Amino acid sequence: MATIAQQPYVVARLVDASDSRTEMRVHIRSGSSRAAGVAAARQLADLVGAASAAVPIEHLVRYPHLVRGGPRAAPGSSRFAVGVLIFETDTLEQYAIIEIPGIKPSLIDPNNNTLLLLTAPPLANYITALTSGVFTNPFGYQLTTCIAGLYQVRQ
Amino acid sequence: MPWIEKPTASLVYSLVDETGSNSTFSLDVPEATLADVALTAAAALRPLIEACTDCEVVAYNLTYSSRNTTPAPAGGGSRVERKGVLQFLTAAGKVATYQLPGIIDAAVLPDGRIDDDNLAIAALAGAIIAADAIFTDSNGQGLDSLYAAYERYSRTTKMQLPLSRRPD
Repeated sequence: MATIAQQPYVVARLVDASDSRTEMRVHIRSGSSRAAGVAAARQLADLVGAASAAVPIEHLVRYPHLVRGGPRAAPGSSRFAVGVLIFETDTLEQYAIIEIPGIKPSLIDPNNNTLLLLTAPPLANYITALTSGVFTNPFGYQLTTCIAGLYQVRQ
Repeated sequence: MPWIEKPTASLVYSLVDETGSNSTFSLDVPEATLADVALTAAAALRPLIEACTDCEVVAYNLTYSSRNTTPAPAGGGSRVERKGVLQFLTAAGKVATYQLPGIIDAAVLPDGRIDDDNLAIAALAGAIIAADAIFTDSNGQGLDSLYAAYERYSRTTKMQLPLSRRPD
């Protein structure tokens, strides 16, 4: 199994007088640090903003990776079968929702097919990793405890 | 410009199911997390995700983003479809093309070429080709010189339009 780091890139997103939006993307050197990437993204947005009549509204740096040689999609797998994990965070009333598209049927509670088996080893290992201290909700609050696991079929 | 960093960086995994349909989901790490640390965590998480899904994990990416919370109004009549095409030569002699949306009138010459002496264009091109620049082409080759620059109009895409004007 191989993970292939692709060339990172920075993006400047702009909006024009008609409220249409688009972006300009420029690659940056491999191995660029977060600080260097963020600085390059800001530099690009500022320079593009000066050369464009449209206005920069967002800039970003992205580090893309390809995965090759991992397990292929299993027969019958569907992205619409979603496992939903709900987490508490280190701050009261701050939660996080993390989804798993194509959840394995073996991780669904056979006695209640709207729930996941949170103690099944694959899910328990995943939850342990998610609550290891690295991951947060979108507001930056650290995931602490998985309080529910739901199975949903999306439209 | 008042750029505000998002509180977290997004880690987005892409998966495909048996039919080839794509799906994504995202996790977050604190914005201050170093890219190496976040990407190491992302790589370590991948087999754990694969153990929980019947889909194939095909890619993931890490994104740090900032927003301009109080953007100035766009210039009157500005259109993102009006591009300034900037072509650069790499050290390997290949051409890398970038399209600057909504190029300013002052930088466009009557014959449709871009005035590379225009201060804003010169600053942009100069930053991209500077000897110590971080910018590269998609193969990681440094960009050495501005090869050509001209105006071009592109077709409006659905995704460019404001939500209220998108066709069904």
